[in-house]
Amino acid sequence: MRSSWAIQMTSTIVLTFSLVLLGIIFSFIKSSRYAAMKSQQNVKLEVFFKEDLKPEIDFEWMNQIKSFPEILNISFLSQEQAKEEFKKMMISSFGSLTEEASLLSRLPSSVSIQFQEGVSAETKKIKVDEIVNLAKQITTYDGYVYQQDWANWLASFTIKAEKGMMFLGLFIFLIFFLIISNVIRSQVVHKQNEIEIRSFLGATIWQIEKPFIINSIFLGILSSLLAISFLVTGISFLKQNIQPRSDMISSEIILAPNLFETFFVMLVVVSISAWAARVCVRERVYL
Amino acid sequence: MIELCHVYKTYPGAIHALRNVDIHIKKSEFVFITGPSGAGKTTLFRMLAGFDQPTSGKLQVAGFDLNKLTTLQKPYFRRKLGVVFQDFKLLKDQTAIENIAMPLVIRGEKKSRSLELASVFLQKVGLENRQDIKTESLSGGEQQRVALARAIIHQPDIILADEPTGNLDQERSEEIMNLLEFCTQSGMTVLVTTHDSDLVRRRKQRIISIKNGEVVRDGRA
Ligand SMILES: Nc1ncnc2c1ncn2[C@@H]1O[C@H](COP(=O)(O)OP(=O)(O)OP(=O)(O)O)[C@@H](O)[C@H]1O
Ligand SMILES: [Mg+2]
Repeated sequence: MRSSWAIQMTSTIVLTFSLVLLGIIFSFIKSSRYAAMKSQQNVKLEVFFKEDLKPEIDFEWMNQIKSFPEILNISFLSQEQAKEEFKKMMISSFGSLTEEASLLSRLPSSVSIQFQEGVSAETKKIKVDEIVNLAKQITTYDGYVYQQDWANWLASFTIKAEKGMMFLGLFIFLIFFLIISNVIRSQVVHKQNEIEIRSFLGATIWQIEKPFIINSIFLGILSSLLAISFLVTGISFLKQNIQPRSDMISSEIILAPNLFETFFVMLVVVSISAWAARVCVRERVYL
Repeated sequence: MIELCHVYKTYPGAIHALRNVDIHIKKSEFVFITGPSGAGKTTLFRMLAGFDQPTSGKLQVAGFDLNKLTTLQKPYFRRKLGVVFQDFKLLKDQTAIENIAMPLVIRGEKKSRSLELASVFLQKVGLENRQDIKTESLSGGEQQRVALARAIIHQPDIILADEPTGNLDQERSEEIMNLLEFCTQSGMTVLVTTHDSDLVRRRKQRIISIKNGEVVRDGRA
């Protein structure tokens, strides 16, 4: 009986570990999907100018762009503001600012243009060309950056990652099944004599397998609860301690599984446990 | 209640444990099965209890056709039987009273009620002062009586007792036989195997003798 407890304990730990892994995979998929969605939504066009724009002269260009129905927002960042932003980023990333005067003096001013939600990628592309062509008429025009490519890359990466992770998740469920089977199988062997006697006295297969099924469901629930508490602690720790670098990498994009998803996974875990116990008992009991 | 027609049982290695056995037993009958060691008595019981299939022949017990017994039916067929196994088959790490209560618990009776009734049957086999002792610490004869009490507590249709007096002195044996004969009065059919020819002679019951797997005699003493 004591060795049976040792087996149950170690397997609970391994089961918990595998479920934590599953939770990490799940959060990773969810977060990268969310990040892809956000970046697709927030795709920006940035047009750079060698010198600050003069509102009196370039007012019309800005207004013209603002009047496009596809545009949500347009904002101007002067060279001075760009310098401040750059300094802030350097400090938050490296802790100190190495004064690179030559670099700072070369920072351009920029106009950042944000599209409305729900505008298709093709329409955006057409608008980008249109806006850039208008900008080229301004003498200080210095080039542009359009983030759609990055968003596309992230989207295709997410799809690939999701497939890989799904496979890994199924693999973890398989491992889970095998571990629980081993625990139950060792118990069945241990109680072979009792099982045989009970069946001779007229116990049905359900009466015989019930205690084993209850035990394996208990193991499944215990390890999922442990795994959930580890995950919740881990994710909240991560969220508190992450260094926001930009709007892309912030604590906001780390998503924990929600209540419904947790419940669903637990349901799967419980079903796998019950099924494993059933298989193990039935492969060894002949009525 | 029990019908065997041309039943054969052959084990691998051409061991003919039963040959052309024809036995018909009516409800409430008391029958001794005798024969030398290795004659096939336990084999016959195993088949009557549905633990084993005959190689050929027809077998009907308690209204069940054992040739066509499905896995789902088996437990319900076994609930009609009370079996005393030659090797007892008790749960060693459980107490005498828990062992005796088992058939009732399996039939869905409440634990407390089952234990209550079990203590009555413990008394019937003279073990009231052994109630809470694990069966592994009981003597052979005591274990045998626990096995008997377990076989009759649920008032089965048929009692199959394989050597129920093998480990008992004469006085105890007579008591146990009285108890088994008493069971037939409440409608149970009782089959008992034994080597004890004196005991059989005294009882004046139907005797079926088996030798080398064949029925060599069927009648009263
Ligand atoms: N599973 C088995 N495989 C092979 N042979 C077996 C098996 N079970 C029983 N036998 C053989 O069948 C024959 C009858 O055995 P059985 O146990 O029925 O005898 P028995 O009449 O009960 O003897 P005893 O009085 O010693 O209990 C024996 O020769 C035995 O060796
Ligand atoms: Mg025998």
